[in-house]
Amino acid sequence: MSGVLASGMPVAWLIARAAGLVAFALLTVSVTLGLLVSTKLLGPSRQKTLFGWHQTLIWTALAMLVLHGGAILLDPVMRFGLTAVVVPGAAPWRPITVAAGVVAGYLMLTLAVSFRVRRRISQRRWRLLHYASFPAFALALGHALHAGTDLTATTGLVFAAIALSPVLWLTFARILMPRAARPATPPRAGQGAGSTGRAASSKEPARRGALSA
Amino acid sequence: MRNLRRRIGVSTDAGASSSLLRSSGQHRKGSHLRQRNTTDLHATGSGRKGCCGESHAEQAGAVRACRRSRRDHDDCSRRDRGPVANSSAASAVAADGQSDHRPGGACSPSAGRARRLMRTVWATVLSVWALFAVVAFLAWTRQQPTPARSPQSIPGAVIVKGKNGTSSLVVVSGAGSTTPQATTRTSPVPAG
Repeated sequence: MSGVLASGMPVAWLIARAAGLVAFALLTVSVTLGLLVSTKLLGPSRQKTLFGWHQTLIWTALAMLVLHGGAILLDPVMRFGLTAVVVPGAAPWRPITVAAGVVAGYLMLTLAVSFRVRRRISQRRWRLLHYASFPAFALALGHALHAGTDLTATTGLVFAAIALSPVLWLTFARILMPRAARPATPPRAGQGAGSTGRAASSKEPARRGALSA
Repeated sequence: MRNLRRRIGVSTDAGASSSLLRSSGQHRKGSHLRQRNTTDLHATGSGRKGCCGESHAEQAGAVRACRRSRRDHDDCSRRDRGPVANSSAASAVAADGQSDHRPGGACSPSAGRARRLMRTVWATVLSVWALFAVVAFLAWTRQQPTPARSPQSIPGAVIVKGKNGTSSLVVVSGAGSTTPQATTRTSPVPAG
């Protein structure tokens, strides 16, 4: 497969660009949902749904990332080998920005796998590991803006603004919002119907404050 | 396999409740499945402890199944579990006599799996449609703009001056000029 149709349309190149954009959009939505879960701005009743979508979307973004790399491999113009796609810094074209994308992909994979091993590693370690989502998002945005051929000048600024606005706003909300003001404590690993979570519901605000502190 | 797992999970649930039932004198051998429908021990901390603790501790298979069952129940949200007591195991018995974790119910493991599956399907379908839309947009914007018409093909007016000094306006149609312009043909050189 040459990646180019008889009509001269570079299909592999188009798919690579589109898959990269969709993967970044999914990553942005997933990070936003994760921050919504963390800040609990939408209330305790939606936590489970938001967390489920947060988990599902990161895997979907990974699937799109695989498609992005595979399409670049098939593109006859870029001539990226498997090493260039998999190893950071081995790309012949813009190695630093491509390496940023590769590292972001590995971080996304780590985060997605961490959901599966959440019960084996402790909740604290899982939380610490989850902070890697911020560098992953930043690296992916840098990769999209510098290596991406579609996001130049004004388009790139608009794209970055759309992606960054909710993430930055929710990050600041998470940092600045006092913990006692949040509606409920997060569900802990290994606690399906944990009595702590039940006790931390809105019926017992005093105990909730004690648990949050 | 799912049925087998469910059955094992059910037996361990009931095993957890056996200590309660023994104390009330209602425990009979083989009555686990019947009693299970009236208890909701997964929702309570004491029920969990009993699940893997005293009565079935020696049975490794039962313990494994208990863990599996507990993992499956983590898919259920707290909201779906209904009224839950924190400390008293006796109050774990639902008031209406039915467990929230009945097979096929809103909070059963199969329902959780189905929810996850539907979520994955929706995410995949929407992502693929988004991919197609972006590919179509990129392909559409990639097309070159139509080339501008050459000046020869544009109809225009030409002012022609006659021999006697009069000028006349002649409209030149561009229809015939779409044919490729021939190179300037020189007149044949007169012989001699």
